[in-house]
Amino acid sequence: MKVNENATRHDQTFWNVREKRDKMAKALPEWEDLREEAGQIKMDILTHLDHYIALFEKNATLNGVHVHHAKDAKEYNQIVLDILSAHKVKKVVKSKSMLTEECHLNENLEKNNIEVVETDLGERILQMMKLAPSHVVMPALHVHREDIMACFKEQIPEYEQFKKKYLEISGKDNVAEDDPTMLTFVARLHLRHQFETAQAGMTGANFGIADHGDVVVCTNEGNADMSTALPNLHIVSMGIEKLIPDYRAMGIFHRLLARSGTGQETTVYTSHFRGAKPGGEMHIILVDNGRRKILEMPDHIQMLKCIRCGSCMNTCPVYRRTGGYSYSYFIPGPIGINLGMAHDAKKHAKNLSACSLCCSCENVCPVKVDLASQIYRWRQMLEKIHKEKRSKKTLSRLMTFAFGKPWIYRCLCKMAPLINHLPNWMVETKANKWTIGHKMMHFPKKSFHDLWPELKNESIIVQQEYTPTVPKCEDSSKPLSFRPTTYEDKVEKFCQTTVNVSGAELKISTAPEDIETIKGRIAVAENGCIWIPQTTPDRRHLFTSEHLDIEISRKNIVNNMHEAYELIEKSIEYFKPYPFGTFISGPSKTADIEGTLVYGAQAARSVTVWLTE
Amino acid sequence: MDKHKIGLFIPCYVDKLYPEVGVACYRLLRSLGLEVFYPKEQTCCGQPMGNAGFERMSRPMAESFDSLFKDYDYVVAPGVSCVSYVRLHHPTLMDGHQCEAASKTYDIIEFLHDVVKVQSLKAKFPYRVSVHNSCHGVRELHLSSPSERNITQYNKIIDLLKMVEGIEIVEPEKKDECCGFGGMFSIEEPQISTRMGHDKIMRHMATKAQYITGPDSSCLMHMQGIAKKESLPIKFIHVVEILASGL
Repeated sequence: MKVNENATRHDQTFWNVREKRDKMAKALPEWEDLREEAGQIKMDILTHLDHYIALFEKNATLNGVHVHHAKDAKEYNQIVLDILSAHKVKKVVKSKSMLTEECHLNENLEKNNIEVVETDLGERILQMMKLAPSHVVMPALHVHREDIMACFKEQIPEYEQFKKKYLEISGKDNVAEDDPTMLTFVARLHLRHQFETAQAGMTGANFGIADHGDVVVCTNEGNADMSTALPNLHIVSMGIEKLIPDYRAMGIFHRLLARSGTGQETTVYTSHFRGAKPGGEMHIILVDNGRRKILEMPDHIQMLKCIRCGSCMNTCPVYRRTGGYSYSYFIPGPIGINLGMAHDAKKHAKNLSACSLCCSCENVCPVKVDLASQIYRWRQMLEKIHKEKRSKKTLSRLMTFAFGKPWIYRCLCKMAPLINHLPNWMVETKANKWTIGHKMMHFPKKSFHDLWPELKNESIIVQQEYTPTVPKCEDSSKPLSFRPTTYEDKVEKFCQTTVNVSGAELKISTAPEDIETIKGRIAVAENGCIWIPQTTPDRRHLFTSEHLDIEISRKNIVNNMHEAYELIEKSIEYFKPYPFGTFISGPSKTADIEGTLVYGAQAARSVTVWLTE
Repeated sequence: MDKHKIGLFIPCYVDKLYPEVGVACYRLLRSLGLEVFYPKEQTCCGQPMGNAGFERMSRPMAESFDSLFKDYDYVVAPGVSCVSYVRLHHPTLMDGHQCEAASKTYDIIEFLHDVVKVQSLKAKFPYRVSVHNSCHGVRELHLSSPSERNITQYNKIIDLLKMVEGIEIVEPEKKDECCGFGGMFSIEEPQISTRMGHDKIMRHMATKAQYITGPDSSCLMHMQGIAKKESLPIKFIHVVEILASGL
């Protein structure tokens, strides 16, 4: 592997995300309990997977959703193609899904003359530039703004017209050609047209809730919502490991996902799809593609707990310096090394060297996947598949020989100082990889072993007598003291997060009569999320409007996501008659162009929250 | 009261390259009234082969380590990575019998801090030192709170260094990011390893420290090799040498 030519910038960009994540983690006293609990929930799902799949399928079917099972990528692609062909689909708009990357869906659809348009800004940029994602959450963060500008200019025919429109609405006289806000606006208008002309929308799934058959999709841009609110056909692609049991679990995972992934309290949209839109059709394809094989590997089963937040990449000191393309598997970083091995060990064995076993990944992982330990264990099987590195094996053998018998070791120790006297050209050889970056070490004449006879007879003044006592181990079996944070004044906290976290405008009053507002039902103090169930046959206005006015009563403010999900679960009115509800936290946003935060990616460009009595 | 018998484990590269670290470790333990033995047949804990993917070659090392050290009350070593290999991996490497030494093997820092519970030291070190929190010390032996976690902040290395007269203790930015040594990682991925080491040294140097000090000579050896190659003006010293500086 090589250090990336933009390593300094790449390192800094992803370290910034790691730092934001740390800030989030440290703002929640219950953070470590959440991680522990999330990890346990996932393990429980994985050890009872068939039960949960059956439950999910039963509930989704009751909701009128068509559920399909694909054992591999080929079956999956065929199912998608069959559904699309049955509906005579020519164009698909698609929100981000690593599973579709895994199964090479786009190539397959294009081969069958179906146009696929990625709608996540980062993914769209990569699609236009014919590049693969280099990160699971921020797929195009490595691409420079100048290159994005050049690509847009070349491939979006209306570029100049869209740019002009941007100047008009922003009231600016001119703008830099590579301005991320302008470029995002150009992409917005370009994608608007795609949403309007597609016959099908495809999404991935962050979570599938077994108890209710909900598919939950989290985005910042609102592109998954637009992909599903406009076309009548919605196809969800979901790995079988994405299931969680219930809304209680959803509260926990919601709090962990965005905080770990991008260092945000929440994504802007958390949408629950519990069925097709009126007059539409919804399909869920549950994909195995090697996941069941991992279930059978006790040493590696934990990687199925992964919720694809990307935090292990952001913290990985190797990933930050080499970039996503230096790995042979399409998912990079610690989780990608492991998934690649499970997928095709021979093909991806070389990624195993991209780890210094620093274990930072295991400590950021929101579901406590034993990432580094697994890499260690994968390395142990390299010999069996004949993928061990010869140079490393030779060195290990030499060491085994040298350390195997104390007398051999001692003889070699005696000779080692001779190296000090060798000329440079004999030490800094090609075979001696150490000297690529290091000066050769200096061997002192006497080893500790040689010094010992004198040392043990040395008289030493005892400064103070101590008696060692083994410290008591903390009882790790104690039940979790999991108590979610509550706020002294949750209304005050909600007002703060609405302005500072969501980026919405806050008005403490009832909206004037001439403003058409959307009724929020639950507001969450910790992150500014507002629960908006669908109440009209068509929900597109929630996402296509330039501006949203959301009305919420201060009586409906709860402390955190746990309380919010408890209320949603209890209430029978939500999801009836329309099987959709979403949490919205402020205007649509993106940071896909060089990490610059831009409001108004795909959906609402601004939001006003009217806080009523 | 019976004296506790301590078996001193001097990791192979400390033995050969940094004997002064072993000496400091021994003197320090003795100065605290402890009885210290050095089993002469010791060599290596087997970590390099294990991390490289050849655990089967580590097995004989683990076996001989266990038989050499099992009768001591405590096994103490200056070297967090080796200790964590013994403690976490040796139990899985035994040939059909219980591993006895692993659970009583300690790194010198945790031994002084948690088991001996040292209250004061007669050490003097009038320099500014930047603390290198080695990965396996932080995340496997819990010498300090990992920067990733939301737990009470602590640092056992700094607790001990604070007992040293005249010392000025600082930590670099990204205080527990890996220096890139990683055993054979450093020769298998030399470019990345060197880059990580260089970045780490620069952050240590940005603290204006005169010394980089840490609980693991392998990290220090790696950074020292790079610093020498690049002629960077910074010195390296193991924590235990500072703690024993008055002896």
